[in-house]
Amino acid sequence: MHSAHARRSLRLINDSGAISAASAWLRSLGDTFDLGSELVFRLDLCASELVANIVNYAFDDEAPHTIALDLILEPQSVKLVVADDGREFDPLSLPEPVPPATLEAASLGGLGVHLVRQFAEQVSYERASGRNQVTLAWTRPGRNERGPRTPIRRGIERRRQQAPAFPVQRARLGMVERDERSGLERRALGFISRLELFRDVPYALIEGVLAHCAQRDYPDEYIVLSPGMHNDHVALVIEGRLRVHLEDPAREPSLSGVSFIGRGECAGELSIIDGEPASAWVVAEPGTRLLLIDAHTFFSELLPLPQVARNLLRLMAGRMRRANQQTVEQVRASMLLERLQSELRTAREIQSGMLPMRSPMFAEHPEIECEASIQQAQEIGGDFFDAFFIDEHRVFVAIGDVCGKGMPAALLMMRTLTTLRAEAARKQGQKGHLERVMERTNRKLALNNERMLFASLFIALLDTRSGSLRYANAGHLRPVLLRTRHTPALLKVPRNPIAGIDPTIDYSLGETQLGPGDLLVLYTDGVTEALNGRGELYGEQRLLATLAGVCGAPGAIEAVRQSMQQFCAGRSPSDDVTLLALRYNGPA
Amino acid sequence: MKMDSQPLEGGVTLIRLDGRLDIEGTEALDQPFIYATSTHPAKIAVDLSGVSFLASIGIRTLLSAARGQAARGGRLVMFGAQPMIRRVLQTAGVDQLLTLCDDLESALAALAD
Repeated sequence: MHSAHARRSLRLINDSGAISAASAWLRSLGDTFDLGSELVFRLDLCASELVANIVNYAFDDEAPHTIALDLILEPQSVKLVVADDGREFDPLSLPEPVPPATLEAASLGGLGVHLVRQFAEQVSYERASGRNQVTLAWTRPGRNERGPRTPIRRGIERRRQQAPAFPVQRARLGMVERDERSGLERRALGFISRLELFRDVPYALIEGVLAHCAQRDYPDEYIVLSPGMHNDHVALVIEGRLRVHLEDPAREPSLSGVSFIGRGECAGELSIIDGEPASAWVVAEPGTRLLLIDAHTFFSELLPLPQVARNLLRLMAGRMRRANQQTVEQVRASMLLERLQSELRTAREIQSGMLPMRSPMFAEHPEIECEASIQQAQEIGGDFFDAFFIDEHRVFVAIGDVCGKGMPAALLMMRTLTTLRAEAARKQGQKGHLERVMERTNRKLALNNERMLFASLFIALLDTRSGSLRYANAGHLRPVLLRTRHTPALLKVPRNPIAGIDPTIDYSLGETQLGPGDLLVLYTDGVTEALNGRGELYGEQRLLATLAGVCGAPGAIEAVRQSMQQFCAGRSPSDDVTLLALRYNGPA
Repeated sequence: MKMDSQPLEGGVTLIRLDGRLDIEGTEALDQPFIYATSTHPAKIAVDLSGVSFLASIGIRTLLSAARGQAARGGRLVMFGAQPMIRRVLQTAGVDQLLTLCDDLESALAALAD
C-alpha cells in the first residue's frame, strides 16, 4: 500500500506502556505504507525518545494525561507530530552534549533529545494552549529506493477489507491496529463517555486507550459471532444494532428468543471474562459500526479503572436479570402453549366426533342419498353440518358456519349443534316447526352472547313421501338446487339475518317441491371464498358450472372437491370447506 | 530480547544479544546482562548483530556493562552492529568509549591486546 496522502493518529496515556505502544504503532504503519526499514528505525527511535521523556519528565501530578502522536504522509515527506500537555519543554533549547571523554565520565543526560535531533531531518517545536508540540520531518523515500517490491494482490486486499474479520487477530501482542479514523471520527468518540460502560469515567482516562482500538463497519446481516467461535474482543456498538439469536438465524428466521444490543451497549465481555467461546449468534443489523477493544487492553487498561469495573458489574447484573426473566417467560409461555395446543386438539376431536361422519349416511333409506364432507383448515374452524331423520319419513339437514376461529368458535359450534338437535326433535310435525327451530336456536345463541359470536345457518326438512322441502335460513349462503334436466341454480331462500345477534327475530319459511333425481347441495363460504395463487375467488359461478351434469350426492361432492383442488393448485385452504349433498330419489 | 553466552577458547566469553534494545528489551536484559558482564573480571565479546533497534536506554545498558567490566579490570568489546545501530552509538558519542569491532575475529584480536 502506498498512499500519497494519509494521516494516522494514536492517543496514549502517559504510562510506561506508552513508549512500546508508540513504537509498535509506527512499525505497523511503516509496514502498511512501505516506508522502508531505515526511516522506520528513525521514526521508532525519535518517538521512543520523545515519549519516554514525556512519560518520565513532563508531568508533576499522578493524574493520567494524553500523549498524541500523528503521522502525516505526503508525497515527498513524512511528518511525526508528538504533543503533550505537560510542562513546557523545547528539545531544541538543550545545548549539544559534549561527548564524554571517558567511560567513567559518561553521564548520558539529554542523550534522548540529542538522538532525536540527529535522527530527524527537521525538528520544530511549538508551545500553544498549554501544549508542547514537536514536529519531526523526513524526506519520504521514493519507490525505487526501497528495493524490489513484491507485487501486492490488491483484489484480495480489497475483499478482505470489505468483509472484516471478527474477532480481529492482532499480529503480535502489543501491536496496534491501523488507525483509519479522521479527526472528525475521533472527536465523535467523545460520546463514548455517555456509554453505560464508561459512565462517570473522565474521557481523558479512556481516550488514549480507545484511540488505538479498531473501528469496523460490518456488512448487513454479517454474523459477527456464532456459537463455538473464540472471541477475544469486547465490541462497543457505536452505530446500528446487534441482534442476538439463541437459535441459528439461518434456520430459525423468526424473532422469538431474539434480543438486541443497541448503540452504547457492549457485546463479548462475557466470553472474554470466562474465556469460553461465544454461546449465541450475534448478527450486525444494517449500518452497524463497532469499536473493538481487545481482551488484553480491556483487562490491563480499562478494567483497572474503578468506575469501569463497577459499570461492568452493573451491566452484567442487569443482563443476568434480563436473561433470567427471559428464561422464566419462555418456560411459562411454552407450557401455556403446550396446554392450549392439547386443549385445541381435544376440542377438535370432540367437534369432529359430533358430526355425522359416515358414508353413505342413510343406507336404510333408499328414498334419499345423502353425503357430506368437511375439510378442516389448519386452525380450528367453525363449520358444521348435520343430517338425521326426525321421524320415519322426514330427514332434517343443516349446515352452518360459526364466525371466528379457535376455541370460542369450536365451543359456539358445539352449542349451536346441540341446540339444533334438541329443538329439531321437539314438537315435530306441528305447523311452523322449522321456523320455531331456527327462532329458538337464534334466541339461545343471542342470549348470554357477551363475546358476540354469530353463526350462519341453513336448515331444511325433507318429507321423503312427498318430496316437500321446507327450509329456513339465517344469513347462510344459498344452496344449489340441481333439478333433473335443468342447469344448476341457487335456491330461493328467505332473507333472514345471521343467528346469535337479535333474540327477537322471526324467521320465515321457504318451501319447494323436489322431484325424483333432484339434488340439493349445501356448502359453506370455505367453498366459494377459496383463493387461488392469483388471489381470485372460487365463486358461485364456478360452483354452479362444476355441478352442471353431475349425478348423485357423492358425485356432486367429489366434483366440487376436485374442481376446487385444481383451482387452488395445492394451496391449503385457509377456512373449513364443508359440503352436504342431498338427492331425492322418490318415495320408497 | 534474548541473551545467551558461550565460552570460547582463550578465556573469552561470547555473549550474543538478539532483539530490540528498547525500553522493554532493556528491562528484560538489564539484570542478566549486567550480572554476566560486571560481577567478575573477564574477557567478553558482545555480539550485536542480532540487535535490530537501539534507543538511549539501551545505550545506558551497554555503557554500564562496559564500565562495570572496566572497573573489574577485565575487558568488554562489541562487534557486528548493524549500520543503524552503529549510527546510534556514533551519534550518542559513545563509540569512542566502547570498543566496536566489525566482526568476531577483530573482536577477539582486540581482546587479545
